[in-house]
Amino acid sequence: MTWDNHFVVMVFPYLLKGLQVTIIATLCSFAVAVCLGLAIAVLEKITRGPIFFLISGVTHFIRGTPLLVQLFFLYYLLPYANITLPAFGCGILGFGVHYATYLSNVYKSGIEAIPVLQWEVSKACNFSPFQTWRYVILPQAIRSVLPVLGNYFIALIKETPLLSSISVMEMMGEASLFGDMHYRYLEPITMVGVLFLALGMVARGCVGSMTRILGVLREKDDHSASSLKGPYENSKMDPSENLIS
Amino acid sequence: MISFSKKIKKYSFILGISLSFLYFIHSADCRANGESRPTRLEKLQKRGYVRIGLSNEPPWTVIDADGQVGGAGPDLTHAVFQRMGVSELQGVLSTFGGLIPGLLAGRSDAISSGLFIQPGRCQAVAFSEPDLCDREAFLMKKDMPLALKTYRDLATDSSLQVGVPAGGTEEREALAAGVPASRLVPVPDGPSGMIMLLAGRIQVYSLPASSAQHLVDLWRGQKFSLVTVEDAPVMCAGTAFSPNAVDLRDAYDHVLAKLKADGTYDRILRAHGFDPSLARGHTREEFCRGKESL
Amino acid sequence: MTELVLSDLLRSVLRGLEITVILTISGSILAFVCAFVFGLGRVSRWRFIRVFSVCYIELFRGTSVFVQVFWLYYALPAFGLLLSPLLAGILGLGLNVGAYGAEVVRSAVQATGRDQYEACCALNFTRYQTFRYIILPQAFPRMLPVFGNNMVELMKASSIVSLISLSDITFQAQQFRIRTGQTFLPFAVTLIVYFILYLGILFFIRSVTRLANPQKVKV
Repeated sequence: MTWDNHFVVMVFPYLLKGLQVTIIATLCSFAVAVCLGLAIAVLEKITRGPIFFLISGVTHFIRGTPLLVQLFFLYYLLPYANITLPAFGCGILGFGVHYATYLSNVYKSGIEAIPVLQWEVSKACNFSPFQTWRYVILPQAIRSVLPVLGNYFIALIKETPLLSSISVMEMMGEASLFGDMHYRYLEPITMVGVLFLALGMVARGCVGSMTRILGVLREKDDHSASSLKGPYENSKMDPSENLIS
Repeated sequence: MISFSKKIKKYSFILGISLSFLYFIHSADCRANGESRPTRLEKLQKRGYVRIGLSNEPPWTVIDADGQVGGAGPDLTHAVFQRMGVSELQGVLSTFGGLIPGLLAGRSDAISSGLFIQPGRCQAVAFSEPDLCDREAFLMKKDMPLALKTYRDLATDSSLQVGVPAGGTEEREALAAGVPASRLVPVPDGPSGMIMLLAGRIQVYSLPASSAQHLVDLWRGQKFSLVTVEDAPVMCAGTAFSPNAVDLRDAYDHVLAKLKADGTYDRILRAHGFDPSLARGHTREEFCRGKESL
Repeated sequence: MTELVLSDLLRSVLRGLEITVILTISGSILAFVCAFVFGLGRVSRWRFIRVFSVCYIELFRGTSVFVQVFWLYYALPAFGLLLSPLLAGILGLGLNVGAYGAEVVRSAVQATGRDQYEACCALNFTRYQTFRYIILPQAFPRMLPVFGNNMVELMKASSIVSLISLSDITFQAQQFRIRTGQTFLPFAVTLIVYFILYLGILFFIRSVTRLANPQKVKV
């Protein structure tokens, strides 16, 4: 088997088709993850006792088991409970929930980084708990964790090939379909790799300018970022490095 | 702004590296070309085992909990190789679509997993003479009154999602009959196809009749209907070899013909529920040429 | 009948567990080594080593682990290098997670204050001495929790080797499905086994962290 540029040209239109699916899937899943993650983080903060343990147990379970198997679960087993989502929907749900459990940790660290004083001041100003969260805590917490959210966004892109295992034809799915039809994986997979590299760079650029626009200075010794606590109490670690493949 | 231009520099640098990496691949590849091995069979005999590419698709291939390989294809191939002086058979599992790429990549010495002989594949691999033959079938839920008999019927009803084994011949047949690719859903394995049917993700599952029968037997509680496809002729699988192992293939064919003559062939096929008479009268050339009607 | 099915499932899962554990442990060791080699390479004095490390890190972080494992399995043989599935899996996972780990090592080393380097300079320490006695003892405990995260990620990512037919737990679950047509049982058992592995890794990392810094390093 030798490298053949002819196949590169042939596979390219398929990959571009898959690329669209990859991008749409990433954006949708991340939207789900961002909202759900915030909800989980707030819930974990305001609940006590059994409900708290339930929530944190479930998030640990989701975080501790492979997304691939979770996707199989959603795709093949939800229909037994009479819930049949389309494959793409299963993918979005699976990715969204899985990443929400990561992001909830990120949000939590952002919330914990806010000085206790602010809670006390809010109380002194006679804010309701809702008002405190809505106007005092969350705006600051979210802003301080934006760069970390961006990193998870980039990480999410690179996990989308898992979707091909539940017959969503994203880039990797198209490539292996092409490979199945033409009996060669060398060119399709290499090209997928190159496209991922390019996509990652574009995404990094976008995330970078996004965070800048949203008014966050991202520096190595940025105070708000380095005072964050990671999922495992890693103090003084640049949280952006707390990133997962 | 300074950091911005720095970034551009960095990225273009990385891009350059990856491009030169691609070039390296290209050139390394041109060098690795064109070796020939005249005595593949002797090598196998010396090594004492043959690696067979398989995907788990009962009853063509069966893999049990301990990783033991069985089923019609491997059993037959094993019998042939034993006569050729290679006693042991090692299974190399992969997805169905990954069988031929795996063979070409040198992961296996031969494929014996119900790979139908078909013009496109003949260009990629060297097939033995036909060994396992089967018809094509459609699986549907029984409560769905679908009068489907041919691939053309699939093309006419635009509401149907059609499940096809990923990398299987059914996909090509359906495409050739005019079913758009957007309505074809690749199915990784049998049980997944059944669940997709039950869940209504697909309305029809197109696959070889013996696989379909096996699945229907496995899902005894549920009602499925199995229809033999009328516009698909009998398809025959062969054991596939790498295109530069034609000598090994010829040796294999020689022994296979003997097994067909002395009844061993019939015995192995019957044991797995295949009809040995289907393969008689068919040749590899006939399937490699293909049918004009489709 | 059901007993037969259960013992079949149990055997499959145990066989798969063996592969998953081998993958996780060997992959983590490889990742650990790569993380240190390339993480320190990134802050090396020599430009060539820096460039090389950056290339490695960007290449493996930039492309998906899924693509890498697939590539090692199906595309590398085209260059005459035929890795066994297990080796392809270990290499793919280890190199990928190692690239993430390298960034952890780099940032932990760079997080050490400039004053410390200056102090070492004043004390006439060699570069090796500075690193061995001053930087590493401070940086290492900082890396550990993140290495823990990465190890968990590696364990989870090991499930994708099932797609290159390496018979790990996920693969065995799929094979069990094909044999028996049951779906819930194998997947549920698989998830639980993975969760137990996850808890094991958490426990392991917590103990190592406690060993590494008896009184928590405040920097």
